[in-house]
Amino acid sequence: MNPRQSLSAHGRRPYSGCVSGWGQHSVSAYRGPDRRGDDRTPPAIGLEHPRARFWGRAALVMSAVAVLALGASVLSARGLGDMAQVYVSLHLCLCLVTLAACAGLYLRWRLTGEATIGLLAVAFAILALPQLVLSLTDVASGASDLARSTDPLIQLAVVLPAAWVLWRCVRTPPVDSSLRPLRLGVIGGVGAAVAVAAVTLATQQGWLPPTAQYLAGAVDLVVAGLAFWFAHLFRTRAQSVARPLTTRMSMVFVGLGLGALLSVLAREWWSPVWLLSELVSLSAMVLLGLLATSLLQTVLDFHSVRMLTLSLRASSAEETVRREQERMHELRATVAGIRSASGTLNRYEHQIDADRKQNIELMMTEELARLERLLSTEADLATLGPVMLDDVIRPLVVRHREQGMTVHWRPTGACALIRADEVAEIVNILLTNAHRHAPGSPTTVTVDDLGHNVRLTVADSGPGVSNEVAERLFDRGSRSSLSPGHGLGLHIAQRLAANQAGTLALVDTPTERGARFALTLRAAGPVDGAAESAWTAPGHDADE
Amino acid sequence: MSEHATRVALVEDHALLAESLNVALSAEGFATRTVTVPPDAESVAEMLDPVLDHRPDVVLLDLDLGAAGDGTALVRPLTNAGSAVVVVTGASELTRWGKCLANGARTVLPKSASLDVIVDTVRRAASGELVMPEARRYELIQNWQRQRNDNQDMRAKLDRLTPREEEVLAALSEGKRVRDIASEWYVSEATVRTQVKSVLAKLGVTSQIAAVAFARELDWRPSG
Repeated sequence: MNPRQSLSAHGRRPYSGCVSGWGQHSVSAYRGPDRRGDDRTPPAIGLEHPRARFWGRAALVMSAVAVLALGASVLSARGLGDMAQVYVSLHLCLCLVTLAACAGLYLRWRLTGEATIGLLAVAFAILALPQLVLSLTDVASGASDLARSTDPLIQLAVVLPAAWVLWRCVRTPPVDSSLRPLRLGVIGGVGAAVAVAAVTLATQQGWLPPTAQYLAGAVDLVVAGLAFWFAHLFRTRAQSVARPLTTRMSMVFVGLGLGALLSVLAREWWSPVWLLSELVSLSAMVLLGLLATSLLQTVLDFHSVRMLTLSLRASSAEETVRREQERMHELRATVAGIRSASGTLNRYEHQIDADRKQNIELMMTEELARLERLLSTEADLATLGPVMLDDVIRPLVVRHREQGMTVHWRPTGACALIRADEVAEIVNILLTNAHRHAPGSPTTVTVDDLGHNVRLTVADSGPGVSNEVAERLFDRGSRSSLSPGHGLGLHIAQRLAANQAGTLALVDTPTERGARFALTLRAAGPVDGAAESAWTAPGHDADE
Repeated sequence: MSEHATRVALVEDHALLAESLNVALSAEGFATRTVTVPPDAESVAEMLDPVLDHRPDVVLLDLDLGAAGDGTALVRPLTNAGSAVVVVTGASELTRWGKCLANGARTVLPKSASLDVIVDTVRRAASGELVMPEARRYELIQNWQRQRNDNQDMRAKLDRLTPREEEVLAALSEGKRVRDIASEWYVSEATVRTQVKSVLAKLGVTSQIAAVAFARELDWRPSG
């Protein structure tokens, strides 16, 4: 395998760029276009749905619930029994929506560990579980003893522990690893339900005096006060959650407070004001449910994006490891070759004929260059700089003239996108070749500007290349029977040319004597967009 | 041994190593020939005739033969043809060493072995001497057999998959989710989930990730 090709083929890191780009794009999509800059947003878990979408959905769902509830109550408002059923079903609905919201909040807590969210779930579970027990008893008892649900003592028994948890929720640090919302919620909720049952039993048995009407009003006022207070606290004090959440939460509490205030005004449970109070509370809980859904949805979306990003990164990492292993393998093989060659040259110095020795030395030079490339970073590999070809050719021409060769060459000032040392090696190989195959005859080096490309031609006036040799001229180990070399030079030169995104070809010269090699390189001209076409163009230019 | 110079064939993808070993072994009096790997070779079997043409007493065999693939497959036929196979490899996986030894290679040398060691090993292998301690040889072969047995168990499990289950596993390996697979194949998610469950059961794993890891461990591809 050819390590240089494999490295350049993988050199563009097909995955890494797309991973980060993809991930960032998708995550930002969930942040929503109208999101304000908010320094209180926790980094990863504060992802929220766009506000407009949330409120639109909330309004839709809440008005649907209100229309359904109102319609049902108007349709069935024919007698007291029917109104009681409306009450029971509304209340049951309220409990179930709240518990669903708790489940959503709890799942969000499971995925993010935000203590605020966990404690919110606990508080509302404590509120909803006893109410659910009461509603179910109401259903079971045929709604005959409705006073229980609104008993002020029962309400206090439920509201106070929930208020304490909410207070903790506002004050809690963002993450609290000791928090166990499920356990806390179940214990709190069941505890409150037991307390409710005890109070109910005591009242029924006459151990407690029946609560006075004014007391019920007072408790409702306390509840309303607490709710408005929490609305304020969530708006201003909650440090650990993103602003959209605090705004929506305070809306939920405003709704609960309004509901409680309305029920102060409506102590008769069948009055329109009472119905309104119940509907406002239900809307608040629907809002909470929507909030929980939205919170859960955002975190789920975030996780699926993250999952995809991570799996892409994992496959990119695997690819990198595989490539690095390949590179290590190539490195070991290359070093082993160089070491073995140097050992051979040292030990058998006198037994090797000069030509073979020169061949091994040439290969060692090439292998050392390969070693350097294997060790260079991909950035080094990728850079083809604009280089003045004259600077590359001049020292070579001088050196070969010193060795007794006749070389015609004139500087042209042409520039090409190349790696200078590699092109120097190509030209050196071509000149050495000319020297070897056409000894004593003049060699001409010309540089032609072809627009997008630059063509460097090395022509000798020796015997030329026969057709059968020409076919396999650039293959490794190919050589004519007359050639003293080992046929490696041209093979290496062609590979080096490919490294510059260029080509090296033998030009057919039917009329003239000698061999003519054309090295086509990308011009470093001012033409923009020339680079793309130049990738395909050299092959055609060389065939001219 | 007959009187002729010991014939050595070098099967080596790496030109410089091949050339320097060739020079060194020739200088040591061996009739050495390098068999180059054709750039368009499609399998190592193509290399067999060019090597045997030389009727080598000793073959220095590289395992990673570029386009031709894995030279391990050459060990058995070369040994059967009467050549002493000395593997010189850059591969560090000892199970591959074990496989070569089990197939009849006389010894395995790392490419980092010094010229002295290589020349000495070739000389001793040619004269039929023991070139690798029996205990070491036994250990490497055992190691390979253990891994092969493990792999065979795993492979047998993969073989039990139906073609459809293979497709499911392949899709999972590409990182697709059940939902994606279902929509791509116009089937219900429940159908795909059933197939996934059946794949997990047959492989004896409990998660999709484990199933994908299982397939990857063996470098498995669907047979279809």
